[in-house]
Amino acid sequence: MTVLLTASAAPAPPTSRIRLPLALSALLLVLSLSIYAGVRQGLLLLIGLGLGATLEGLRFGFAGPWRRVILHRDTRGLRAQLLAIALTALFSLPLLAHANGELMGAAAPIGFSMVFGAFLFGAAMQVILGCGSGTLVNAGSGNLMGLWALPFFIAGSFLGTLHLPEWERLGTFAPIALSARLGSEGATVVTVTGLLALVLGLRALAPRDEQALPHRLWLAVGLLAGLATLNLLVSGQPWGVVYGLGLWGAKAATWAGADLSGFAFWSAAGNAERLTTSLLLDVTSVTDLGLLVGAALAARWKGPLPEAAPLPPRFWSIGAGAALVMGYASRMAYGCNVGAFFSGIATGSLHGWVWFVAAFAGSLVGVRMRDTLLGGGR
Amino acid sequence: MRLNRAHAMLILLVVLGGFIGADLVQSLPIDPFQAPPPLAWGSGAAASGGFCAVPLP
Repeated sequence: MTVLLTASAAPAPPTSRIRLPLALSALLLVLSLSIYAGVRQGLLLLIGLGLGATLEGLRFGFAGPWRRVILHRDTRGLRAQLLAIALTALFSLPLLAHANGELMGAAAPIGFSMVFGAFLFGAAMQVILGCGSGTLVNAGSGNLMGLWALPFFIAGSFLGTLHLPEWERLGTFAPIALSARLGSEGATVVTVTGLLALVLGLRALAPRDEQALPHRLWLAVGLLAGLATLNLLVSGQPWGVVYGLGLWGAKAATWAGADLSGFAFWSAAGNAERLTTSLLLDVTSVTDLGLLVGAALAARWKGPLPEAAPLPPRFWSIGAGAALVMGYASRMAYGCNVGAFFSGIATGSLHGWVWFVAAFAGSLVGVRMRDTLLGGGR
Repeated sequence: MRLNRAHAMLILLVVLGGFIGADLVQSLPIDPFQAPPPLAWGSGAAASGGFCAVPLP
């Protein structure tokens, strides 16, 4: 009782007092990396910090909104995702058309493993209620399940790279870039029109009082599109998450004595080189680090962290299994909700649309699985 | 002691720092003078970073 009284009587530190040190810490990290590894890596860290802060600070997610569409026909979060992708496409597709190879899109092949992987990813992300970016943001913001899931997500991403050739042998079509078929303008019109049509359809599906998007989601749409476009301009490639995590797993395996030279993925020129160079030079690793730290800063920026609710024992085992499957499936599917869904569609790759359909079908199963296995609550 | 969100955040940041430190020890040294131009756009160099959508060669 004494402890409780003492704790409640102590003045709470003003939130503004912590914000300056947080902002200075972020700036120091960016400057240090710019000096140590080059300005491009510093800018990528800044973009990653912005992405993490936006996702956490404005409560913009992927798995949760899909769950709300399925259970409550609340389509606001999904509409915000599609609007962010449309806005990104509006900038990215013309940029790609005039880049002379300096920028690349997220074109990946469609095949059995891609579709099955996206389905599994969609199911697993509903069980754990965290997607590719969501797991990083949850871990960064001090969510116990996110922190617990992250190493399993990394392990799954790494294991998926080892088996990718076998999955590819089951059959894939060549990557289909809409701009190669329709031209840059045609791909932009088809992509943006398709996304807006979907947004309008989802709006009509929503209950009357949930048709308007809240201001925070509009803000998140603009920030995510801006940051994703900047990521493309700075790094030359779209925003991604999973490659970096697989690389972290591969590095840890190598340090433990594993020889990865016999695996097709890690003996490929660029991948083999990245095993020997610092992860601070890898594009996706740096933006992933930014996501984690950006989410941590945004969570603390909002004020004192609330207490974490204790998790029942079955959450730990089921969460670990789901995160492992999610990581593995993201490699089968050539990306997660970011690299395949967001960046795939935004840069005109047909696989992004197929990923969306397959992952949403998986989510329909995953929502039921979560409710059966964990009882619905977080 | 019950693990709260501040503890979880601290654990994450310490592990991340340790992982980056171990990576710097194990990897080839970084030469900032070999760094690419700040922007890929307009650099004249082809995009070559690791990305999850890139299929095996």
